[in-house]
Amino acid sequence: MEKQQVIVERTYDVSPGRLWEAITDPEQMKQWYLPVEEFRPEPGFETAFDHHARGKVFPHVWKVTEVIPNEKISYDWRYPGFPGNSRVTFELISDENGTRIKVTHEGLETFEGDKNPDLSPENFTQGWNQFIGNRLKSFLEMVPAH
Amino acid sequence: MRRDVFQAIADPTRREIINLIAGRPLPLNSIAENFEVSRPAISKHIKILTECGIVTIHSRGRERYCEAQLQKLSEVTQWIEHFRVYWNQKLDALGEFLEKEAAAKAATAPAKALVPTPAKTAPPAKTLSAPAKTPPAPAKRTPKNIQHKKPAHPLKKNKK
Repeated sequence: MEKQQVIVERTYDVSPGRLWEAITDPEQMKQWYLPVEEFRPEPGFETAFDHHARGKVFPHVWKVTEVIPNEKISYDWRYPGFPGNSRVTFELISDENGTRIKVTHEGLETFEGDKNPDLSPENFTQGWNQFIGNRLKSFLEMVPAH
Repeated sequence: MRRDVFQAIADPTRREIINLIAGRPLPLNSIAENFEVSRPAISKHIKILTECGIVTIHSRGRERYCEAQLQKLSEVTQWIEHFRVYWNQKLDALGEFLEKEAAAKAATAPAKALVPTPAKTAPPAKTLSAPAKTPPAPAKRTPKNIQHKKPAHPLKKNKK
């Protein structure tokens, strides 16, 4: 199956080093990201934590797969007990406006959204109404024609 | 065997079939002509697509027309979209976090306006760029790349 991925980018007026800390230091990650207790940017490092949201508990397991300090980190991301294994990659690119961060989340189809009602789109009510009107365009972007 | 939209689009031939009939219904025979694989193979893919609910078949005369039910695809786009929303929210939160931290740092650092003596320890870039970030910006919901305004001062910020 073609990769079902999401890419989101931002540019922040900070150095790559500052941004690297924010995305790899658990104390900082907790403040903007997820309640990860332990984290080390080292290939092979694995961590598990629970995220409480919408009155439910979502256990997460991450495993670091690739690290280039201040530039790139990838980790596998899965929900134990459910099918699927995705991969998140953060890339930091220094530019004249500061540092651009590019997040790529791929392998989303492996979660089989229909298999896990807690992760189903109905639980995420924001933002896709425009997509329904635009679904063919989105689909064609997602699945390039041969 | 599971039959759902995820399975429907799991195969490249099936995706191509969906693309072909996305604009208008086509007779099964015309669809098969677009592929090198055998007509029975195409029939089988179409059968799977109908079982997945993404294609319906109507008979008109002797032809069997296949029509795409594209609303089923929204299940996939919604599924993907929730991650897009998720990451946009997370990166907005990261931006707010970085600004808050920078503001907090600026507040504890000897600020030029408050301390009459020359602040020789504080790098000027930090002191000058900090006020621009002081008000915590509201969450930005723009899905595209946000270019934060660069302060007029072109000094590089040093990583401490």
